[in-house]
Amino acid sequence: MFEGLIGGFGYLADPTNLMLILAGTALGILVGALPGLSSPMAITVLLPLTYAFEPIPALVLLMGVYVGTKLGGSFSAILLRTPGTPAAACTALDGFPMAEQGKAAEALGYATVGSTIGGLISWCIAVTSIPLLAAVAIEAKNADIALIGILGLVLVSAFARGSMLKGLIGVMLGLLIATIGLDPIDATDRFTFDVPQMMEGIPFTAALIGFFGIAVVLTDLQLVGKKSELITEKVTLKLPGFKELKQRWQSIFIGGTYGVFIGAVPGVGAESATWLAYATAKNRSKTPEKFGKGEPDGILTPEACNNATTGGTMIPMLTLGLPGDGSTAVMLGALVLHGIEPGVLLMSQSGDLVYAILASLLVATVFMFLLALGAMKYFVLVLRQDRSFLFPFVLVLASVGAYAISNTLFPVLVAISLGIVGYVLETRRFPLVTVVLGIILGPIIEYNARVAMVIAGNDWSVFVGTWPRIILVTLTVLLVIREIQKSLSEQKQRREEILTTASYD
Amino acid sequence: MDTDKRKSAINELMTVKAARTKDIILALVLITVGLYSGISVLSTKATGFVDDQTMDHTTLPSLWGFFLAGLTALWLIQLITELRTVNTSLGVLDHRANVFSVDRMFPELSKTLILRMIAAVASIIVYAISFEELPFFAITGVFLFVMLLVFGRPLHWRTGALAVGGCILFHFMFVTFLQLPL
Repeated sequence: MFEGLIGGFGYLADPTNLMLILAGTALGILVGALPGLSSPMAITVLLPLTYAFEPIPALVLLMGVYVGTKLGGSFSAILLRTPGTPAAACTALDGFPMAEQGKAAEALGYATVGSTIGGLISWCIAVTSIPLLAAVAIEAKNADIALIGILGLVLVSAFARGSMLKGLIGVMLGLLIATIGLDPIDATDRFTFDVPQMMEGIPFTAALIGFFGIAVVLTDLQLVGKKSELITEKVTLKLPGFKELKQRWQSIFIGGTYGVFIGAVPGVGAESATWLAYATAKNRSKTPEKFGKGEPDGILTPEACNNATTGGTMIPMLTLGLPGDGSTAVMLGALVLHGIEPGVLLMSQSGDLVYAILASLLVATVFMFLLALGAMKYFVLVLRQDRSFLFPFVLVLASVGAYAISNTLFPVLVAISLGIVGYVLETRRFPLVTVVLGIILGPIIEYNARVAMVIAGNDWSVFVGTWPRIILVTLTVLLVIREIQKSLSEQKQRREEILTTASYD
Repeated sequence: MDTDKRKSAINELMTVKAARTKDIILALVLITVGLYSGISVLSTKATGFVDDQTMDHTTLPSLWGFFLAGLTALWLIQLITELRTVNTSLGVLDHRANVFSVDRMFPELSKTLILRMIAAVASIIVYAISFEELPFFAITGVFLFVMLLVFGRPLHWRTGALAVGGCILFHFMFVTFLQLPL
């Protein structure tokens, strides 16, 4: 493990890679600070820039963006009460009241320190657990990989925003899109409608650009023309002292551990983790009544948790090929784009890449801290800007990115079509990440399931042939049944709400 | 006071009704997609490279298609039940309020927003088609300028300067640095 890590840091000793992480982190903070622009979107529109890169520089750049957006989201939460990212919503509860009390610099300081320590905690846990888990995961056979993929998709549906039913529908749509083109075993064409370009399937980079780029711009067009008023004109950063941090270590620890372990559940992401961590910190506090009124622990906990998910999400991504959230889903796509198959064999086949990614996670966290310390006023400047400046640039990146896939118009048309589909789904509150995951994991599931069947001589019992497989199948079935039941009970609740509204008196 | 509360309740229920109606339309589209995919893939013939497969090229796509249709049907049942409750409640509150209105269906879409969306999509298509015909530098400048205007920037030298600055940046990034064949 240590040799691998040293090798990983060795790659980062290359000044180009270091500059890429720095640039990625700075860009991530900027994007995170802007409400409406998300981490998956930033990573998606940057993907085309990495076409010409080797896999390691490409991935370390994206890691920088991923880490940076986590902190950036808190700036707007504190200064505008509008979280830049959904996961920073919790930070606004105490960050904004603190800023209202004239302590914006302190609030930003707590957010920066919480994020940095949370990131460091998660890095330590990720670095020690990933090699161990990868050693176990490598024993997995084709049937196991297919079942893990299916369980991952069900988990993502269960924890994604909105009802699980919508999540599952999104997954099925994604899986169906993934079957377009030649099938992976005997090259029979499916759903190609005699269009030659469709034989190769839907280019997933175009799908990512559509769902996370164009769809987001179309959804956020209503923000154009709306300028934000900052709570204070002069923004600086004031870090808390070591003594104070020592007194508040419990809050940071709760945030850090919740972030890693909840973030490690595929699909859960930082949003749910921050709320859970915040509630726990409040319950354990001796002064819970201060929460929501500008309590520093109310900033430290969610921010530590938010950044700790960066290490947590890496665990399923690098050991099983399952994304922890939307951003890691795009990063999985980036791996495929650079000819690397994500999954249980990733560590054994591309160990150097895994360690470079882990090393970049640490370096990006350090850069994030230094950038916040040195350039806060420039990051805050972006909060005052109108989206009309930004969206044309995002659209250029999206168009060129899609076109450059094959230097033809076809991927651009795919991106636009899926962008419109994504916009419709987004307005109906479908979690787009489930569709994207279906597209990414679909081919992996199909290939492994069919190979498993061929090897087993067409015997379906191969999928329940070992105890781990029985557990995986049972978990998947139970989770689906439980969530459908939950969805039905939610419907009863909605009916009661309607009746309450109707009986207004 | 009572009238205000009544009006507010009617408004709230009408908003729910509009949202559920849109959901139902989407659900019907998804069911059609699922059923069409599930059924049509069953009729595709294998190329014959691999024989005697219990799980062949049609198994998973048809499964995904039927699951999509089935799960969406479940959602549709929920939506219809909810819509019926809303309709009944609206009928009790004020039967005149229970009418279909296009304005209520899309309250978030103003004319400007629709125009901006159409302009954005159309501009991307024109921009991408132009890649093969015109120099990248020029079309990117024009695209940025047009998009900035469409998205509400004033017709001002600063907007032009931003577009020129942007196309210089993108030209350096994509053509000079990344050497993409644009």
